[in-house]
Amino acid sequence: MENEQVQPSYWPSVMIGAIIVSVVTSIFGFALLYYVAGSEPGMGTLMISGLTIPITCLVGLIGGIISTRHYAKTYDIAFPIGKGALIGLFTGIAAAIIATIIGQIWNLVDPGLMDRFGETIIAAFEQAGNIPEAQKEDSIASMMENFEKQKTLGGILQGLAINAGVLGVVNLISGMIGAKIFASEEE
Amino acid sequence: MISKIQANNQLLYILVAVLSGFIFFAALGPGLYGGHIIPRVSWQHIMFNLLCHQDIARSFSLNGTAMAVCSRCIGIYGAFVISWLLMPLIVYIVGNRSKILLKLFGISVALNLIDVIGNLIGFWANTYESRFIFGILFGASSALLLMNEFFKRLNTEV
Repeated sequence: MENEQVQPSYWPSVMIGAIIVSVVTSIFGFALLYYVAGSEPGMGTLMISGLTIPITCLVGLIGGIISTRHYAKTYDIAFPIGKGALIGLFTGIAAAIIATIIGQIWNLVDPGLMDRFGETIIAAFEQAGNIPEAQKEDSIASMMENFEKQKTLGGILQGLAINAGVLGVVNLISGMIGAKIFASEEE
Repeated sequence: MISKIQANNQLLYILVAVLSGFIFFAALGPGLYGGHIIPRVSWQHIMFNLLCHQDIARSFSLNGTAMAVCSRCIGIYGAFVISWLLMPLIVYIVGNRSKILLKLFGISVALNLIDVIGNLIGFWANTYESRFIFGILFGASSALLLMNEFFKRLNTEV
């Protein structure tokens, strides 16, 4: 209990990990949005095989590792994986919040981006030949509803909650890995 | 000599098992429930849009609908949750081997990075299968790296 009290705050480390993850994932996200919004509608638009940025699969996971490494190295301390999990969880949630703020700021800079993205995706889907017409219409109606919903406060908060949940979980795991590698009490 | 398994951090183990199981089933995408749903707008796709490029050309399909993540990521999540659930059995069989597991984790990270970079600069073209296999290696080694934090094999004299 006494050790708990003398341990320094991990919030600066959490924020560093969160900022790195949110900025990098936002850059890749915008690259994808601009690519789709600016392309001719077609199945290729849905597949985006021309834009291969597979490295993003690893970027979202590393927030917990960055934060726990920073915390352990800055203060030269060891801590259990439970604390690493907590640091990772907060990193993921903070990353989702920062990414949402970046997204909303970018909406002010380029307010038509999401509309152009939505129109291209819908047009591409309308051209898809392998889906029954009735199902296609239902799906397009539901997609338009989704795009409209994403512009409302409720939609933004729902997206934030979903992203915070999933980024929180994967970074909780990577936080445990970071604690194991960089802050383990084992010899 | 009798081997026993000592469990630690049980609440965290169960929590991660439940959460990673949910993540894996969500990553399978809307095809899990059948039918065509537009890629990128299902709740499963929204869940992973900050984590994966979700390129349909690089993703497996389920019931004709692209999964919510690419073939590498589904390998990571699937192998992680299976290895996580099998942890007690693996500890019982192989014992406590922290250093080997750390090396295995390092090798899996390096292999994935080499595969991604080699593909990006055009040295080779990776496939669904190669990305999936490297993803499995990374997911399994990530779970196994943490094995000794949750289970330890104790050998006791009879």
